[in-house]
Amino acid sequence: MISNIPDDLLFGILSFVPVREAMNTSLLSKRWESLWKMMPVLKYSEKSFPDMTFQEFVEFFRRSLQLNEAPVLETLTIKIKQQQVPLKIQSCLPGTVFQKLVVLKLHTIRYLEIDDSPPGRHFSAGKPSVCFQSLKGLHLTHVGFREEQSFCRLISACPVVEDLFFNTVRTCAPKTIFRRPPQKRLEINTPYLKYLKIKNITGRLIFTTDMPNLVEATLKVDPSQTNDFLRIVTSVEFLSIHLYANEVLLLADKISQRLFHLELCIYGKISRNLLLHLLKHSPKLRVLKLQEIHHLSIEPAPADPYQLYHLRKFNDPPPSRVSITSEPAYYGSDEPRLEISTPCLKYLKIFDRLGYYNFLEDMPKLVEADVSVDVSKNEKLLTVLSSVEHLVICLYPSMVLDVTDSLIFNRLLHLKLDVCNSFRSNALLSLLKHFPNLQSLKLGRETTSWI
Amino acid sequence: MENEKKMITLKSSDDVTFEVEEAVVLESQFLSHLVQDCPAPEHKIKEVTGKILSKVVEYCEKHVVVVVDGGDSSSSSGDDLKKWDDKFIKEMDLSTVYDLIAAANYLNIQALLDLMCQRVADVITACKDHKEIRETLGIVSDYTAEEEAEVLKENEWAFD
Repeated sequence: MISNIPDDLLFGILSFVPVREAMNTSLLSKRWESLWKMMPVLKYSEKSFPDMTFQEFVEFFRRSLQLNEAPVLETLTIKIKQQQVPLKIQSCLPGTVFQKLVVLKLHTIRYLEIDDSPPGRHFSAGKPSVCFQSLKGLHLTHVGFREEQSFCRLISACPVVEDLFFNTVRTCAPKTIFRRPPQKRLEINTPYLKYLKIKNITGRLIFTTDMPNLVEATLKVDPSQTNDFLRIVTSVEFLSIHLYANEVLLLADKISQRLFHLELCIYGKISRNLLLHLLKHSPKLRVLKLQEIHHLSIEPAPADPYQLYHLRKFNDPPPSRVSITSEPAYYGSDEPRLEISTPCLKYLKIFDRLGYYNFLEDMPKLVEADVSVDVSKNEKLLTVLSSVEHLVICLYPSMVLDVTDSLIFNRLLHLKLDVCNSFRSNALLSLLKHFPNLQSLKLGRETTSWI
Repeated sequence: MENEKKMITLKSSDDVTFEVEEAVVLESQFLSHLVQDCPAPEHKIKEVTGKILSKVVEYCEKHVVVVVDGGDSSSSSGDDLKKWDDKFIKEMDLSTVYDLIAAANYLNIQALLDLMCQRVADVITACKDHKEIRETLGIVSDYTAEEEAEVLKENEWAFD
């Protein structure tokens, strides 16, 4: 009988029940009346509320959280599906939560904000007015911040946090009139951190404090950032990191004597001597996983020009294959200019209709290219493609004549051409003159608007 | 060759005995302490019946951490284990689940406890209202009609 199960085990059961359904249990019998209010593990999923608007959902969880009487709130999980307005941390969480919450897990939240109240006070960067006094764990999965200050404020509102987990965290800089948006700085000052796991984050992470207690670090971010991370990994036992080949030496100097598990993803080629040097510096190492990356796949397309700029470091040997894929445009996305400098490239694939790429160098070895970009914004693109044998591209009819005017694609054998608008046959004929060796041509029509 | 595996005998409250490898016992924090502290060949577990202990042993034998070379467990074995868990709980009636919750709590086997709690939680979550929960879990209400109406009114805001 369930009535024989003691209360603390019933909490164990209820902690797997979403809050709204758990509230149903208050009607079961007198014993159950207040059980749900004592639940130490709370899960709010918008899925439980198919009939509620987002605002009603927020109101529901604020109100039910207020009723929670558990002395310690072990875990609070919030999962949202549809969202029109930002979720504001301060106004949706009652004050008690800030005192007693231990682990906060936020899931699929498109806009998260932590504002700078009290209102009226002038904006002070990174200083939150609230504080999660006991928060030890913060997990963000598919969470977006409208601006990087919100991210920084959230982190600095967790002064004693020990466990940070970020999977697909995005920040968008406020719209800017500059061509290059200012570098997004995501500051992390968490001196008590023990576990850090980062997978896919936009913006540039800056660690502003040392973390002498850090034991495990999984840093699955592109290698243009990770050389800055090396200073925080001096105490770790478990490390997984992406690095450019020429930065392995730096790592060898920084890694701790305690390191026993190392997963290295090297962009380029690691020499035997370098590997030996690394091993010499890690006497306790028991597991080493090594992966070399010779082609680059960036997904989603970086919102931050800095990341591609750093590709220059990836030159040992230079990547022969680059593939960039964008996600559907994120809110407020401006048009960063992405610079690509890869003279040895053989294969190029870009699926990023909004991006604005600037090819700094010619790529005479390029054989295959599949580019779904807005050619009107990428004026040098066709020039760098002139050596290809296979080409997939989408063009506006008016562009075709302009841009290819002086170019002859001597080596082009196979062309798949999507045309954005109606395309007259004489335009096609004059286009074909530029491809003297063409063997196959596939024509398609691009119907969806890009803008 | 490795040493022969150490066997341990567990005896339930109704004197059903189970001979298991030591590794299986280590899945339970309670039993591993017991085995360490008193090296007798047989251990009586007064709080757990033979029927329930057989389920516990079955679960632990399946979940014994197999240390493969490199210490890396492939994800497919993780999936298999999950499938096995699903089947394990699906075949079980609720009263066995309650007994297993008590046993897993007593023997301190967190993963088994979570699995069983999840099972009851799924049942509760799937019910459309409190009446259905009462019926499914066999809970007898001790509310008077007025009291029940009052609780309902208190939480009314959540169900509008």
